[in-house]
Amino acid sequence: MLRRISILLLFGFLSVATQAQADAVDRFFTAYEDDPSFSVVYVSPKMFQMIAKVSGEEVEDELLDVINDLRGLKILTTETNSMAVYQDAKAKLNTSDYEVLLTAREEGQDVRFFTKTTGDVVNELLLLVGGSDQFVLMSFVGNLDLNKIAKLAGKLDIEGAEYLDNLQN
Amino acid sequence: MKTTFLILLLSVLGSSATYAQRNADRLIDVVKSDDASVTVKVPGWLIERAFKIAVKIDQADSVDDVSDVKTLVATTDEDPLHQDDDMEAWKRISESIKQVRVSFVGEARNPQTAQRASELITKLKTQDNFATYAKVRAEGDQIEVMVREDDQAVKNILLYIHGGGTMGVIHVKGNIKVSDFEQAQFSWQKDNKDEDDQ
Repeated sequence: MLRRISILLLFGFLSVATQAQADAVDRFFTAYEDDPSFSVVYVSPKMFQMIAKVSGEEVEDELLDVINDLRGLKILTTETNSMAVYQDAKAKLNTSDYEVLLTAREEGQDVRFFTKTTGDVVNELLLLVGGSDQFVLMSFVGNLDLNKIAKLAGKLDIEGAEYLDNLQN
Repeated sequence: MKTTFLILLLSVLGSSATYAQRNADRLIDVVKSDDASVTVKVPGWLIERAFKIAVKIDQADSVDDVSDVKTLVATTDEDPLHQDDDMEAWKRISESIKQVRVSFVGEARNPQTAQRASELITKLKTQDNFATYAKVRAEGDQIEVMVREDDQAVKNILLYIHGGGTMGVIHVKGNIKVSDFEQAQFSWQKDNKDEDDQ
């Protein structure tokens, strides 16, 4: 009985911790989404379900492949006070909850990819880019294939999407 | 007594449904109030009728065979068999639509229009239970899709477009159930299934 209660408590704490981090990204996104100096993309899980159901032949197969796997997408970019926003993101998003997938420094910009996995499945991919020129936050949620997401680099007409190319293999 | 109770219940339910889309109607009215705006209201029965006619045209050998429309000419590069399937699927979904309102202004003359629209969009979410399904804002252009669901059905879909002086709102009222989408079989889904089977 005690063992069952312990397992239940453990699951409870884990789910609270996961939710807390998801909330942290949500809160950060909400804090800046109405700021006109930011470019914003948000697609809800329900929208993804609908796109996967209704999208036709006008959607490329590769893109549809990614859409089918996605359950949520948030993108936030700015070129105004980018370093300050980057520092704010690092402070508010507890990146220690993620595994560091890749870090790089490109033309004075810090590029960091973080993932959250269950077994072999990547459930969340977080990209943070910060420097004096630009700030980029991208959050992908779903059952993710990083190679497929890397292909979005050339397909998304959004500032910062080019960084996704780093995920290739 | 029972009748009185039923009438009261119906009026309360009716007023709450109207209240829930009050700000959506106001948003249309804000765009409509601009001198340069164009506004169209299409009732659900007309949409349903239009899809029925479209399906008949697809199924007929020529437009002349369709008694409802003699002058409409349909031309397409698509496979006609597949188009039949898609029309049927859209027709089924259109049956759940009660009304579509479209208001569009190419060059907004009133500078307060955008400000008032922005306030109403906030109210849609905070007061009327609309949820943002998708939002894109870049370089001053904004597209937002908001949906109000109730009892496993989509009651309102609102598409807001704003960029430069252009502003548009499309408001779809209906009772579109998730099962309507699931039952609808579009041609591309069949194509994908065929490819998977092979």
